[in-house]
Amino acid sequence: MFEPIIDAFTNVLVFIYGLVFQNFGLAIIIFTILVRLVTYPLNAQQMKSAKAMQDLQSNPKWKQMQQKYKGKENREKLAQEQMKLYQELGISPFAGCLPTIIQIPLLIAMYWAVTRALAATPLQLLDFSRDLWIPGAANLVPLHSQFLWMDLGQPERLLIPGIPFGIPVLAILVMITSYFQSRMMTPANPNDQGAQMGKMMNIYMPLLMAYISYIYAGGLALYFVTSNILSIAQYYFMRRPKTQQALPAQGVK
Amino acid sequence: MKKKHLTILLPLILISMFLSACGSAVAAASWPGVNFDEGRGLIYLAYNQHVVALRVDDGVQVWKYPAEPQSTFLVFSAPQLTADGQVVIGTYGNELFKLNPDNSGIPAPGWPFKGASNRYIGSALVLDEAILAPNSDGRLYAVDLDGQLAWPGKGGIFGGSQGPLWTQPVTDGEVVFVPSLDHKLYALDAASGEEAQGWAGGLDLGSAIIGQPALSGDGLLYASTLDSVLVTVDTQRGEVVSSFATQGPLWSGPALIEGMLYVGDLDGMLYAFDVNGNGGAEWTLDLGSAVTGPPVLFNELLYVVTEGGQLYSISLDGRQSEVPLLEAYQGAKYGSPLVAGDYLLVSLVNSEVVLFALDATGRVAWQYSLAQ
Repeated sequence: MFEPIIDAFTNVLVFIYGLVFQNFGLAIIIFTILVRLVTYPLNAQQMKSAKAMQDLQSNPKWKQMQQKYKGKENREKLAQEQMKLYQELGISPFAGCLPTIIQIPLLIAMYWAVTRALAATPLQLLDFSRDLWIPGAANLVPLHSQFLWMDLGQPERLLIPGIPFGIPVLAILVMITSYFQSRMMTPANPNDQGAQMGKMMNIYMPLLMAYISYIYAGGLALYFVTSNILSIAQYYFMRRPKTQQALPAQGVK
Repeated sequence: MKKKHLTILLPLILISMFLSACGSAVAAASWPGVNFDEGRGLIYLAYNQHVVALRVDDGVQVWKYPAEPQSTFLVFSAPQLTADGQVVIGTYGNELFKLNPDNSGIPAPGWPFKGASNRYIGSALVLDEAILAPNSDGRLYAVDLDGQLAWPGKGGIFGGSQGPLWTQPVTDGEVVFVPSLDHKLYALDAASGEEAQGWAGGLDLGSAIIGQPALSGDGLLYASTLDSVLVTVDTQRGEVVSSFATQGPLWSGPALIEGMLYVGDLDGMLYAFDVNGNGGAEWTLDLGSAVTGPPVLFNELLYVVTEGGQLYSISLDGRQSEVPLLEAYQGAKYGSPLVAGDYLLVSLVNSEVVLFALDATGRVAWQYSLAQ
């Protein structure tokens, strides 16, 4: 199902690799930026939706509703009222999910593109060499997987003299950036069920991403870090003007 | 655990399992490597997590090393033999083993050699007093028969390659030719490890060299490249003297048999060249599926296998016929068949049967399967 996307990703990645002096780390970073640009409308919609959900937390009607329908026995009624308010304000609580779901195939394709490109066994290299259809690609194979201190084809560890184990720098960076990214997009109200789910995601998602980065090729972790940083930057710039406008109002209150 | 936690954790675990499944599939992608010790009458089969010794007459397993699978013992190449029949094999776990065939394959004292920093993919070249092992870290390790680094002047290592070394080197007895995935062919003095005269920095062939080159007795070397070019190199001067463009990429190295050069490409074309001819192909055959290893000569016929699962017998003047195989023997075939005494050995991947032996009449004499 993902084969055409993986093939396209692999070839674009190799094409970029050829352009950036056969530096696979740079190729992954540039490729990630391109993917983010292509998926910008989806990301923007997701962030807009997250922002709308966050703004909703300070809506007086929303707060009144939370007070009025306290307790387990009113949970169903509260949900009905919340849905009415969503409709009234033109907010879809699931609008942020669709872009995320659409991006899952891209994530999987990226995983496979990096894995294929850094072929570590004869069968992998055989498959990889046949997947390439861009002119002159045979001259680029195999790709150089070294980037800074990392071998992007191996799980990344920074070896420091005197320390008996390698430090998984990229996995740590993935965990930190994933945490900030998901925290920025989580509604703040601790009483809201969605916000509680979001808080749990803030914990589990960074841990899962860090675990994947710890055990899989460093190239994938580099993609995660770059993608997270771009996402944080995009969200920061999207919300900044409105945040500034909102500040006086908060002060008056 | 609360229901809410489960709602979040389950999809995350599923994603994690999906990626884990991808990872294990990658790690198991090995294909069989086979060698034959005529003196002991044993075949050595290296595949996935074991090296097994089989009797050539009936395929019965004599020993298996390691007895139980070990995560670091994953093999990708054909075992090589020292003069006294010790079995040399490098692993995906960065270790080079010398297995003792007279002691159930248990490594000789001082082994494995653990000096490499990456995986062994290609077979080692065994000389009289040293084992030259190409490694994915781009270095060629020269190890003596006791497991210590040889070539004192070079610290036991040739590190001139800018890319992984996946291919078994070849030697004319004095000079060792080392193909590299960095597109270059290097030539080293076999005794000292110093670069041979006229070969400083290696010879750039334009694309990765994956198949083992063939050496002729008159100072010519034939190498195939992934960029679909078969080149002829003058080994004295370190220069390319001619080249031939094939239809598809060349994964397989060429085979030099009775004055003819044979090579197959990934498009399934098999080419035959007269080494004393005008450089053009004497004949070509379309085998319909990728060829990843050179043909071998068995009973006056060439035998070659394809990724599509076929086994072809070809007369020396280029008449092909497909050897009919039962379904159990029709799996994908990589590399080359091997002639072992009166038998032609053919290996399979992704199949219950890993190896089978054909006798001179073309009948399957025995088979070895994973269940054994």
